[in-house]
Amino acid sequence: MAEKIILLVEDNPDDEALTVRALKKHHITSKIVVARDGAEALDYLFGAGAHAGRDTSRMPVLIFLDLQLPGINGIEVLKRIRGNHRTKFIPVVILTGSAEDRHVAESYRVGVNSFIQKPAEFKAFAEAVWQIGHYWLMINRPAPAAGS
Amino acid sequence: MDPKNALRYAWQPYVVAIALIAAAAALRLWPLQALGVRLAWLTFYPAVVAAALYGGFSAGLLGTFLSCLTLLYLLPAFVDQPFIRDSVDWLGLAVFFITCTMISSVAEAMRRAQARAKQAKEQLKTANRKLEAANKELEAFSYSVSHDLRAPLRSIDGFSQALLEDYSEKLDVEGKDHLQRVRAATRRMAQLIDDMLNLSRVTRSEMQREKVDLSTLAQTIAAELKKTQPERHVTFVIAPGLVAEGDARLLRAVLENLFSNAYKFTRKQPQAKIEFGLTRQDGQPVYFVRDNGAGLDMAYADKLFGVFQRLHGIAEFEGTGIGLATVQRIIHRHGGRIWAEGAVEKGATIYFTL
Repeated sequence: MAEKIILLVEDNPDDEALTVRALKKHHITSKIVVARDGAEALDYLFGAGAHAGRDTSRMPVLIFLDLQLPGINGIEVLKRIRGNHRTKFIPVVILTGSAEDRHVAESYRVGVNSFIQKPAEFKAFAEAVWQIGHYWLMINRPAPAAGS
Repeated sequence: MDPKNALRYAWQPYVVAIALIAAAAALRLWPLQALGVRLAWLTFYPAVVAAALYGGFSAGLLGTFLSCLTLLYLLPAFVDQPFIRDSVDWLGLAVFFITCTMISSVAEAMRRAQARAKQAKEQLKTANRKLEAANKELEAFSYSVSHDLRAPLRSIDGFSQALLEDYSEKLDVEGKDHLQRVRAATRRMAQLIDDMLNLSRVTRSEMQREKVDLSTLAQTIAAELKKTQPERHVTFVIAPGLVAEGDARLLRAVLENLFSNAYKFTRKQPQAKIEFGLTRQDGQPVYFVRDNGAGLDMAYADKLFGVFQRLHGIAEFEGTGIGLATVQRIIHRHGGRIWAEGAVEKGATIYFTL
């Protein structure tokens, strides 16, 4: 079976390193692809821009998405993901510093699978990341791949 | 307003006054002709009052003059007998004139008072709007600041932890201790941020007033606290049947804060006792939370409710100094008062009204 891919959309390099660390620490061995902003995330998913020519039949099994991103924000990225038949069913977990009620409400309206506010304490943060990874990769059964 | 409109607006009261007097004269002549010359001023009084109320003193005065002229010169042309025949009639005219002048002055004063009230109301509205906007901005600001402060904390805590895990063998005991202190400080700062967020939420959230069973709430909180340190002997004395009107979520925050304070400050007491009850002061119901713990110096009692105010060293009793500030805001939002009494090592009592 091909290696599973996790797409991490995160503009803060520290949070990126900590998220990757938390996943590796708990032996989640999937390939982690990092996108630094919304445009890069969409380029990766749809094989455009810097990621032109990517084998787009291999989609991530899980997307971690930050809300505050430079350029195209998290909500907009989520809208595009949900709006395309190839990415419509990929589990998307929002992992963000801000958890204002309107952001949470908007995220669910657009179709997020889960909304996590990053805990300030690393231990709690690592635990949250691991639990999400574990759930979506090991426990949850994903939708059959589009086109197959 | 353009000048043409302003002119029309300025003339309007006088036009209205003239119309009113004309109507009064017509009424007096035709439907009331049976009165003859008696009660000559009957219809002119209300006309002048109406003119003065509508147009102020000058319009009232104009109406008064016109009324007099009408009775003296105009109406005699239509009736057989003149209205003014002798000195008594002249006296009547004088009384009419003086009364109407007085009515006009009173009407003018009323109009001015009304205008001032209206202006004051407008100013108040504007000030309120500005205040509301400033408040909203401030709350939004503190909210986003609190969130942005979290991100670097996670890095500090996370990478300190990573150092401890990955470079453990290269760090001596002192180095590890330093890192532990860094992590403890980040935890404390995280707590501060959370408390500040709570404080800001307390002022932002909408209040929903309902009947709240404070006794049951207190029992629940006491049970939760006991679970945190089961080895301690703490007696909770909670008066039964205390029901108050207020926002359930906020009142829970009040009791949680006061109880956990009492729980914290009785830590060194082998037989700790925490009471919650209702008493009366000056006929007013006053709730209180009393403990027999470390107490407080009354010299600093007024500082107790300020943000970041702490009366004990951080090593002695932990805390951020935001809890009681939050409690005070909640009590104030309920229209109540809060104060403290106590003495050093003699316990403390927090009183509040709702």
